[in-house]
Amino acid sequence: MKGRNVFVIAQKEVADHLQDTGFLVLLAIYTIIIFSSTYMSGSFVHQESSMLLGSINVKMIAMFAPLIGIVLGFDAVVREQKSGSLNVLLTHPLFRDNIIAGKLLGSMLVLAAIIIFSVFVSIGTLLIFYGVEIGYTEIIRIFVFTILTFFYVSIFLGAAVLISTMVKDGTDSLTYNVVVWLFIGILFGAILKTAIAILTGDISNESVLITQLLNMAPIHHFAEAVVGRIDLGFGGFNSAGSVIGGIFDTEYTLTQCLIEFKMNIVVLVVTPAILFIIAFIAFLRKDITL
Amino acid sequence: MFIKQNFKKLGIALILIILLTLPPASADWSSVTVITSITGKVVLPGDTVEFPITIEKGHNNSDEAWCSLSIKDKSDGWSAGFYNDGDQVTGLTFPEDKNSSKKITLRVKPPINTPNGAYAIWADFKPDDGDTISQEFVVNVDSEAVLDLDIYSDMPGLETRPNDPVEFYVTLENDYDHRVTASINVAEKPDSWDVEFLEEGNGKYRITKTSIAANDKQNFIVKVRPSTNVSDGTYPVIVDVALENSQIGVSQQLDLTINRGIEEEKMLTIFPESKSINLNPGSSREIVVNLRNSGDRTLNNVELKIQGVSGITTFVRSFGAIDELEPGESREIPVEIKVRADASPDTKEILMRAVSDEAESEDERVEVSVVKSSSGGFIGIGMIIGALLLLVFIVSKFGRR
Repeated sequence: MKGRNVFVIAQKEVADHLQDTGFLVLLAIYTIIIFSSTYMSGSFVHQESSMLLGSINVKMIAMFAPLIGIVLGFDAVVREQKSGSLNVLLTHPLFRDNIIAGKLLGSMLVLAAIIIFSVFVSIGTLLIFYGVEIGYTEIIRIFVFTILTFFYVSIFLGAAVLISTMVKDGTDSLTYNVVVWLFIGILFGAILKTAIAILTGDISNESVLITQLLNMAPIHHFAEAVVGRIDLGFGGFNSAGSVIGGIFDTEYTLTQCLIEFKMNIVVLVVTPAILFIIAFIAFLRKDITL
Repeated sequence: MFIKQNFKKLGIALILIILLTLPPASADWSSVTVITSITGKVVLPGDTVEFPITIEKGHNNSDEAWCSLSIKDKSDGWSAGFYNDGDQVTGLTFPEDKNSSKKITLRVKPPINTPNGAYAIWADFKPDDGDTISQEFVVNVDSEAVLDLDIYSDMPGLETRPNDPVEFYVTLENDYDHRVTASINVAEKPDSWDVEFLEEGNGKYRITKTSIAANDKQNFIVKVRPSTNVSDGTYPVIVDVALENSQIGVSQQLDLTINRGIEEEKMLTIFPESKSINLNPGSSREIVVNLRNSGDRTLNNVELKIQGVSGITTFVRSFGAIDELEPGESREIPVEIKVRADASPDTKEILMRAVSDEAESEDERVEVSVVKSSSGGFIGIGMIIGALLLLVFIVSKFGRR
């Protein structure tokens, strides 16, 4: 019975998102961004071992995909609380954990659909327009890339839901989420670079301190696992973190890539789970009175 | 009747007189017999002439026999001697209980300044038992006579560019009954031209003399390199072959035409492994290009150059230029041809050229046909349909409020 309640909440959460005009516009814009950047990359990229994988604009995805997670989660709780529907919901035979679990599940389902849709449409259109050859190796790696992107964006979804649980106003939630996105998703590398240069005078891209500090940024783990670079943010570090160019480096087997980047993958998988748990607990302890 | 009988006696007497007055070509009473089938020959002044002679031990003679050989009479300055298997001999021995014969040669050489005319050589064959046999040999010296050495070329006229060497194949034929040795020289050539005589077998060793067996012939190469600044025209190169002993000889004129207008033979050549390949957009293929030094000089800093074509990228996988490429040497250079993802379906030509400090090759073309992958297109359509179906499924399943 509890499980069914969770799915009902999840279904309603999905329905809310799918019928939200703003969300649909964002989905369309995001898909167009991914497609156009991938299409243009295909015109300039010539050195990669796989031209199709090299055409995928990972930098653009790394910077803008988190917005999807933020849009899905920033008002997940605060909207229900502000509208009073949360109190109404709890008059039904529903527990708080059913509600938060359902919302998280629904948002993750929509997120997965968006990621799969955008990647598949972009790659599929590229294949039709360019007529490039695609092999088994590339299909598998695109599939793994899609999963990693899902977990990467889930981090921002988890953070958005957590912030939504903690604040009392949707606008505040959006503001905080945008700040978080800008800080750890876009400008973390640039800020870190500036801070290190001011404090130590070291502008080298390869110091141990930089590597350790970059571990705090999800974009670092995503960038390293996919393309083997330590940062993909705006104005950040531009150096390779490994001899293997991520899972897109077809000179190495996928197993070798996964072993090489296992820590990054673990971080990408565990971080959203931790954030979901924290959001879950925070919601259970939340004062939901208006 | 009396007259008839007198005529018969007279006839018999004449026959006897004639028989008795004939020169003694052989002596039936001697232990050896000398048989000469040829006793007169024509020769050039300074050339050598040979008369074959057979000496047989007399019939019904079972004892050992010997015969000394000598020249009784010859003109001043002439050389004459008897030869057996290439060695000069003065006597022959015949074993007992064996009727054998021996072949010897009388070799006569008149001086180079001998006037035309008939000259007699008298040879004495003195057996151990019996009378000496004298034989006359007549040598007719004629400065218009044909030498028994012939020289010719099947292709005595060739055409080339300045400084490009050519090779004439020349045949020297020995019509003598004995081996001759001849020296080969250039009698005439344009100034500053290089002419060398090469052994035909490998075209590498230079020759100055040749030795040809009796009634045999020998080929050799006359390699001619005209000078760089020679003007167009036909130039003779005369090859002189002189017999070693007599200094008389034969010559052959070879005509080399210089024509700056004919196509230059490339010293550097390239051979792409494939001249036509099909590629999908975004795919690549490696082909091997063979660089060869077809000339006879070492080439320095040999490099493969490839002209870029829109939509196609090429990478020459080598450590820059080849320092030295020896004559006949070749190198294989891998070249990766990569088609850009946005290359339109078309057939494009990649131009390749090898360059060095000294020469450059002709342009070679590799045709690259860009063909869209049908399988990639189907997969692309499948991915879009899959994505749309996923969206439809989610909307239909969860879209209802």
